[in-house]
Amino acid sequence: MPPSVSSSTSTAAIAGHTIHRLLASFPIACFTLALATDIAYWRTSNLMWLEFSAWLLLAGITVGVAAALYGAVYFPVRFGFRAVRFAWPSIVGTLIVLLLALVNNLVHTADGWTAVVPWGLTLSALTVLAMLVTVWFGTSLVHDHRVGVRYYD
Amino acid sequence: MTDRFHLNRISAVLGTSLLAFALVGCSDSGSDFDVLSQIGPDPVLPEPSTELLPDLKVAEVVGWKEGQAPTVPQGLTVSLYAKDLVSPRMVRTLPNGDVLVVQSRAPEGKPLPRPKDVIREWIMAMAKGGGGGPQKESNLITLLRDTNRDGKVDERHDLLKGLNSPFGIVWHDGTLYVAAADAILAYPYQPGQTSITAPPKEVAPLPGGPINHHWTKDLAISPDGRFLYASVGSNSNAAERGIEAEKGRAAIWQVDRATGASKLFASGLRNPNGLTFHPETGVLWTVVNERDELGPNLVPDYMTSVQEGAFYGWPWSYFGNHVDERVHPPRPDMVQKAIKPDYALSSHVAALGLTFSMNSALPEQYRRGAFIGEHGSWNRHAFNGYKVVYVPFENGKPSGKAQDVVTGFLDGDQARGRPVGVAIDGTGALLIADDAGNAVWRVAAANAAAQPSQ
Repeated sequence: MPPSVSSSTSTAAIAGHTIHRLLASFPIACFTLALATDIAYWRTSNLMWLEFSAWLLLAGITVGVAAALYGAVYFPVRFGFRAVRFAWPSIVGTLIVLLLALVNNLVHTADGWTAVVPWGLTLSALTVLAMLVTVWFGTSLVHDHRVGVRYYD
Repeated sequence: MTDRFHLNRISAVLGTSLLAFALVGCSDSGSDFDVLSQIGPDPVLPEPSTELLPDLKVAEVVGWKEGQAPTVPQGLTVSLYAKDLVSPRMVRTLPNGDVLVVQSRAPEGKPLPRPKDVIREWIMAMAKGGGGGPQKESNLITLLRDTNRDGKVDERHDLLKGLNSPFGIVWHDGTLYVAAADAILAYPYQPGQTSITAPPKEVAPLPGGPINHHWTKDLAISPDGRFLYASVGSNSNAAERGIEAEKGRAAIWQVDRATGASKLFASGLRNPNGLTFHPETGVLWTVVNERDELGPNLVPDYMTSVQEGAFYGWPWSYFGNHVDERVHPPRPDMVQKAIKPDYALSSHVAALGLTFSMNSALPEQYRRGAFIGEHGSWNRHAFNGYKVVYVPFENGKPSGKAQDVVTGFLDGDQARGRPVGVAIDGTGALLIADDAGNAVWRVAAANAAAQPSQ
C-alpha cells in the first residue's frame, strides 16, 4: 500500500517511537506479573507475593505515566493533532489502565489478605484486560492508520 | 466525531470513577461516633472499614516554649521536673526517691518490604520533629535527684549511656535491670550511686531485630521478687510480615531472675507496655496498643490484667472473638481461645504508660486507680489520646470511666509533647515522661506542692 502523503524518513522518528515502545513495555510486563503474583498470594497465603505485587504495581504505574506523558508530547508533534482522532481509543485505554492500577496499588496497601482478595485480584485482572484491549487498539493504529510506520521512498 | 469522542471518554471516566466509588463506598462515615462509647469494659465496636487511602494524621512536633506547660484540673498543679532530655520514654522511682529517666530512640535498619512502609516511615519521621542537624545522643538513662523533697530536681547524672534502645527498667536487691531492644541486662547498682561502671550481665535475651517493629520492651518484677516480666510487641500491624516473624512476640515473658529461665506468660497482646503489679491484689496489669487500618474507631487500645497462659487474640482476632479478615489463613481455633481484655481506652490512643496511684499524695479522688500515658493517634482524622488519663479502681478492678488528668499536649494540629511512661515519685506526685517534648512533668496536689508520702 503506497502512502497517500509523503512520509518522513527521519530516523529520529524511529528512535522516538522506540523510546515510547520501550517505556510502554514496563507497565505491560509489571501489571501482567502483578496479576500472576496476586494469584500466587491467593493460592498460597505467602505474603512475599503481596510484596511483589505492590512493587510491580508501583513500578508499572511510574514508568506507565512516563510513557503516557512521552506519548502525549511525541505523537501530536510527530504526526500532527490529526492523529489524535485515530488514537483516542489508545488514549482512553491508557488512562483507564493507569487509573485501575493506581486504585489497585492503594488496595494493595492493606495489611494481608484483604489487600488481594477479592478486590486486589479483581482489579489486577481488570487492569490486564483493559491493557489487552488498549494494546489491540494501539496495534490497529499501526496497521490501519500506519502510525509509526516508516516508508522508503 | 468530536461529540462521539467526548461521549466515549465521559463514559470511560464515569466507569472507572464508579468502580473507584464502589471501593471507597464502605469507608468511614461515622464522624459523629462517640469516642466515649469505647471507654470501659464493653466498648462499642463498629464494622471494620477499609479506606483506600489509610487515615494518616500525625501532629507535627513543635515542642514547649518557655513557660508553657500541660493543663491539669483544679486541685492539681503541674511543673517542669526536668527538661533538655533526649526522647524520655520511661520514669522509675528508686526506693531512696531518686528518679531514673530512660531516654531512647527506635533501633535503626528496619527492613521496609513494601512501598507503603517506605512512605509511612518518611511521614512518621517528619512528625517526630527534630529538624535538620545532628541529633543529640539518646539511648541513655539519667538519674534525677530531689535532695530536699521539694519537687524540684537538684542533681542530675547520666547513669548509663550507649544502650541499645532501652525502655523498661526495674531495681531490685542491688541490681538494676534494664530491658534493651533485644535483652534484659543486669547492672550491679546500689541506690545513691551516681554512676555505673560495671559491665552488665545478660539475664535473658528478648526477641530483637532486624525488624523489631514494636521495639519497646517494658519490665516489671513480681511482688515476691522472683520473676521479671518483659513485654515484647509484635513485628507488624496485623501479621503482614508473616506469622514466622512473630515468634515470641506480641507477648509477655516471665523470666526467672536468678537463672534467666524464660517462658511465655501471656500472648496475643499486640503491643503491650506499662507492665505494673496492682499493689493490693498483686495481679499483673498492662496497657496494649491494638491494630490499625480498620477504621478510625477500631480497634480500641486497652488496659487489662494479665492471666498466666492467656491468649488475647492478636493477630487473628480483637477484643475477644472479633475476627480480623486480613490475617490468612484464618485460625478459628485461636479465635475461640482469645480472651476479652478488661478495659477499653478507645481507638488509636496509643497507651504506653501505666502506674497505679496507691501510696500517692494526690488528692483523694486520684488515690485508688491507674494513670495511663496516651502517646496519641496517627491512624484517624480527629486526634485521640495525647494526654494522661486516670481510671478509678475498686477491689482491684476498674470501676468507672477514664478521666482526663493531664492535657494540653496538643496545640491545634501541632504537638508540644507526647506523654509516654508515668510513675509516682518519692513525694507521692505523678511524673510523666514526654518524649516529643524532651521533658519530665510533675503533677502534684495543688495545696501541697511537696507532701511527703510516708
